[in-house]
Amino acid sequence: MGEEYSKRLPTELEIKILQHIADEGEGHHPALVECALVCKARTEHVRRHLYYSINMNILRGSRQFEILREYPYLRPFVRDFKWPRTEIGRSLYCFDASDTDIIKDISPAVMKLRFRRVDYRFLEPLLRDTIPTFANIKELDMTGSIFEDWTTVVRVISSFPLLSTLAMPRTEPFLDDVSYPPLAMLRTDPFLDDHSEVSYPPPRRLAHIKLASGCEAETVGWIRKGSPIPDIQTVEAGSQIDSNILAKLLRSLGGSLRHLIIHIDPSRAFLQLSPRSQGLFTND
Amino acid sequence: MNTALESIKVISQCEPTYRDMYRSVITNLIGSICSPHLRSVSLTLGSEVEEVEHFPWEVVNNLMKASPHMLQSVEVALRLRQESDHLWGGGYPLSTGEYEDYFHQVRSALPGLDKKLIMSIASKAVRHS
Repeated sequence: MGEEYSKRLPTELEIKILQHIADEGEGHHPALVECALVCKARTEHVRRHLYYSINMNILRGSRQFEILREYPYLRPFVRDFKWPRTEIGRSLYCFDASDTDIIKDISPAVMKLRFRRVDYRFLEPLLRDTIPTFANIKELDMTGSIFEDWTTVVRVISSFPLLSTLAMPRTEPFLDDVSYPPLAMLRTDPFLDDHSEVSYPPPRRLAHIKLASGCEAETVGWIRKGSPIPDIQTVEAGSQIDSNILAKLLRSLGGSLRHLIIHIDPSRAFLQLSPRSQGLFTND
Repeated sequence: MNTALESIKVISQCEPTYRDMYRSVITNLIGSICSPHLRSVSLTLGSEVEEVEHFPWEVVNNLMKASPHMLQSVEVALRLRQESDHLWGGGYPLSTGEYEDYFHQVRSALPGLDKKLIMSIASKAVRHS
């Protein structure tokens, strides 16, 4: 017995080995699953790796979610959660009301929420209510997601006071819904904009923002009205962003800006940054 | 306008059809940076091989003038494919060994950077989210 004990590796080394297995597996960890089954001492550490990240857009993620449904004690291990896409024809998994309790159990420990290509307009009210429960996230990626109006966007974002990294969604009202205010009204009604931006200011810790086309003007106006303006160090912009609006943001940030990330795809525009446009860093 | 900008990362695709527009955008964007604090520049270019020759490298070279002491690295990652056949479309990707000539072409276009230039093959297809 004493000899067996002396043959054991130091705990730190065991943890390093588990870490390497987790890093190498690219999400598929049969060895870790076996380790969690046979080694009580390492079970908790292994579970941290197994359920750290759940991507509902791949089969493995939806299987993990089913395991969480069956074993609620595993839910607090999730730190990185990818909400299922709701694009037509692209969904692998669709949440329904029966999933809300699981999501609410997972959400307080999640640090990074990827809410990409989700049509918020069609989410059931019960599912919408789970989103603010991700109250401790520091990263929120809403690239390609669609919201009905700007007020809803900033109201949702205001649920996350610790947010430091944010990728913006776009807005698209229901054009066939006569009860909805038209897009032009949503964009230009100063009372509506001022009211929403006063009630839902940008997160104070925001350090990295990725702009989305279609609502870049609202986003930049929202940030500039922040009191104080968040200390944003990284700005990321994709194709189709109006470069004059981007330039306005960069000027507002002045000395705090450290990193600029630009995605250029000429076939998808960025056309406003034409030879006649001002450069991004030229003065007004 | 001087800024405290320390790094700039450009992830781009270029098609021959949009070459002039692309050159203008890159020239305006990088040419407008005047940060004495600039430490690193990262450029990922996905294109057909002939676009390497048409890329406005001089504007990258000029960054050395704006930030001669602070600039520590310029990383250029290429993801190249042979010219597409307009009849059949597409264009096949280069093998690893075929990149050497294009790395040399970029190095020749950026003589001022010398050891600060880091060339690589972009790890996966250049995509825009």
